Amino acid sequence: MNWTEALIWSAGRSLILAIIGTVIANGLQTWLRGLSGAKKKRAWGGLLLPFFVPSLMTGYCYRDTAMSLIHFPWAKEILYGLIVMMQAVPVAVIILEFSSSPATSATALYSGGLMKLASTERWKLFLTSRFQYSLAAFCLLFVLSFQEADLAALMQASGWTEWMFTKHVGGLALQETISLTLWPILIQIPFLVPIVLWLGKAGDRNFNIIERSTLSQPGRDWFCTAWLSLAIAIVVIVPGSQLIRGIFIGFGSLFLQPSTFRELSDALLIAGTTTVGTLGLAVACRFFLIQNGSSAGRWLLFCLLIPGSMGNLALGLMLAGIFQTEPFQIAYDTPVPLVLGEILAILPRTLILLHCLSRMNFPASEYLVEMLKSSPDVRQRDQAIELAWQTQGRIRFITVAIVGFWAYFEVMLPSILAMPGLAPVGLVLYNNLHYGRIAALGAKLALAFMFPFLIALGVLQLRKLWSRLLLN
Amino acid sequence: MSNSAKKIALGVSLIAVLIAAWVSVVRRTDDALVVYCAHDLIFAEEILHDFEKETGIKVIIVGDTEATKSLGLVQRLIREKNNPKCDLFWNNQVLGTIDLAEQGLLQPYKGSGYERIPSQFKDPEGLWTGFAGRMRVWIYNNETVTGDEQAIVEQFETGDLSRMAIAMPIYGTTLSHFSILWQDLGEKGMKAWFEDLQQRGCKIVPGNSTVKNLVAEGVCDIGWTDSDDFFVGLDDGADVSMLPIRANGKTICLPNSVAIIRGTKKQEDAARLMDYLLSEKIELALAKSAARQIPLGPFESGDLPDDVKPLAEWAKESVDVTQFSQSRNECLKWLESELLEQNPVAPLGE
Repeated sequence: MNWTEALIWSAGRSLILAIIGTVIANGLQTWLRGLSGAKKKRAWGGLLLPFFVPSLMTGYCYRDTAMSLIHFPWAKEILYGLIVMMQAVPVAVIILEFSSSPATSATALYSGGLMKLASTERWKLFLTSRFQYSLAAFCLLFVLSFQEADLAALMQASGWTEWMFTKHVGGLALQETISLTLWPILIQIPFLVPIVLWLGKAGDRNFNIIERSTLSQPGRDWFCTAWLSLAIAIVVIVPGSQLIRGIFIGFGSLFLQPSTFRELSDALLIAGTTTVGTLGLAVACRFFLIQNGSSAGRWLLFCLLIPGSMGNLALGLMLAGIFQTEPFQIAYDTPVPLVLGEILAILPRTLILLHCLSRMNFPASEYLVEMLKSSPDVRQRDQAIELAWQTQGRIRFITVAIVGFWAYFEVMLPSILAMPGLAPVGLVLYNNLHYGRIAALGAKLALAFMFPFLIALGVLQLRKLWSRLLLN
Repeated sequence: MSNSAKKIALGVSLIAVLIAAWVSVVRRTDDALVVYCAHDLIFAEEILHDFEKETGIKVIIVGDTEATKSLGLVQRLIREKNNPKCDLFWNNQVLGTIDLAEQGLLQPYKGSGYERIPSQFKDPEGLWTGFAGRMRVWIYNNETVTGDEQAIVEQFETGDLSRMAIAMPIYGTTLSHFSILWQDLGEKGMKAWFEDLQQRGCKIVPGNSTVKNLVAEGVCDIGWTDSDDFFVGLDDGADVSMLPIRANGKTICLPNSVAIIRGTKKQEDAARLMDYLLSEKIELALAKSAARQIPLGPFESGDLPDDVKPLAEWAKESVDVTQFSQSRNECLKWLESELLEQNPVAPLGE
């Protein structure tokens, strides 16, 4: 496969995944709107779970399966595409769910047809209807699947990322790396535009606008339930069961290896630093570039999203090359290239996350909490702290936890940019996975997976304790 | 203190903690010997940690992977040539190290370890030294293939190869293997041979351990791999056997290689580690490890594990791997274009 064929293959696969994924996402979002109570919470939880499974886990599970399909390359490609789609569709559903009300409702669109408006007018109405959000979802699905490299490397899926990997065998100068990377960027740019426009849209979530019937439809309900179940089975349960098996194989011996603790603390340090940097930059982008509504701001935001759209492999190679040039060489032996790379890589999804979570804010309750905080009564002030956690703190905690999770499980950038002496646990695992010695890695993978959750649980428990002390 | 002041104080404290943590990470290499190691870390780490305990010299290991071999340590060393971070390079084959030597990136050193290694496995100027070899071998599944070497070779030369696997030949020991074939067959012969191989269905997979896994699981019947990968499969209980691969009647024993990087500020410590790795003690330790690597220097034959004895005999018939540097570069250039094909759309900016 040459470079052109690799690009066409990747783009074609991503288009197919994006089309199918958008249809599924629309169905899922409508189905979820029709649910209520505990059933709705469970369905949302089941939807989001596959998205948060790191490629280390799916790669660990399916690497050997992919290799055993060597006589059936199409089956391997389908398996890879299915896993990528199952992990990306939840993001498309989030985009649709957290979109503001469209300027043109479904009723207006229908009325335009009845009125026999000119086709250009009807086309304008169509572009400002719910279609624009489906377009944003479609584009995000395309970008996510097009730039996916970690799982592709582990499962040996064909595409431009594998081609680029191989091309670097003889070593490439920075100029060549940049020129190779430009084509994938150009391909993605048209798909970034609707996403940037979506980020720039203000307004409340369309809780009450009925765009589609949410009445139960047996066919749709059955399909959505089956899809969720299949996604959980393939992406969560099967890899998870291997993880649990790994806990019984050699878990005890892990703690005898001094390197294990250092690898975990390195991963935590990288995640912490990246989270602080990414959130700072993302909040600044929202404040200065998005909320001020200027087109210059949007263009600058667009430029900031481009490094993240290159894919982590290309981004890492470029940064490695840049930091070997004269003016930047001084920073090569520092964490700067790695942290910068991770910030740029995670920034686009952080902006989407902040945009969605901002729709869950309720300014009125926040104002009341602020008033309560300035009460002369000590008990009221303490209760205000607890209320502040309920209204704002939880959302901020979730934001920090999610961004930290992404940074913690990033493997491609550390494999290229980590300085000597820095060996985060994800990188160690990713390296060893490629050797194929999978049985021995289960315990370490289980520990690496549990570690951030234990930290998050610890923080939550400390907060509860603090809150009880205050209120008592 | 006001809320804003509290938030600022918290933010500053957090940043201070992060900076302090990073300073301690950056300083890890201050007094340490930085070793770039392409050998399997499961085996190499134990040896390097023993060196640390015995000498008190702290060692920082930067590993390589099968998947990132294309981004691997040889390329990293070339990239860092004007500002080297590495003090000592432990490669798991020799041709990449020879490439570094030709680019002037290595420092000569002929210590006690160098002296004990035969001349066919070391550079005459002392720029690098080989040790602890492994064989290129046929791995075959006992359930589907008989152990007849002639039958296997016959199948390979003329039969259907849809159930045979080899590792991607653009890096590692498979590249070394192909370089030897390039020299034997010549450019034209090599191209025709490889085309024929693919037409008869031979599968190309990411690495030698993948070849081992496929044969062990019965997905493929035969494959080319390294002897240490074979033993990993055998230890896992796979029903597999091996035979040496021969090129023009000679076996292919590929040593690890070790070299000191030019520009190191820890010449003495690097030399000490180099002598340690090249010692009889370490060669025997690697022979007794799960990798079963073949000692190249003199040793007491009674110390050798039974598994390794036949390998040591095969190694005596090996080609001289130091002769294949030029063919490696030619072969690699051809493989890049062959596997990545001609690019009708040039990268932008060219």
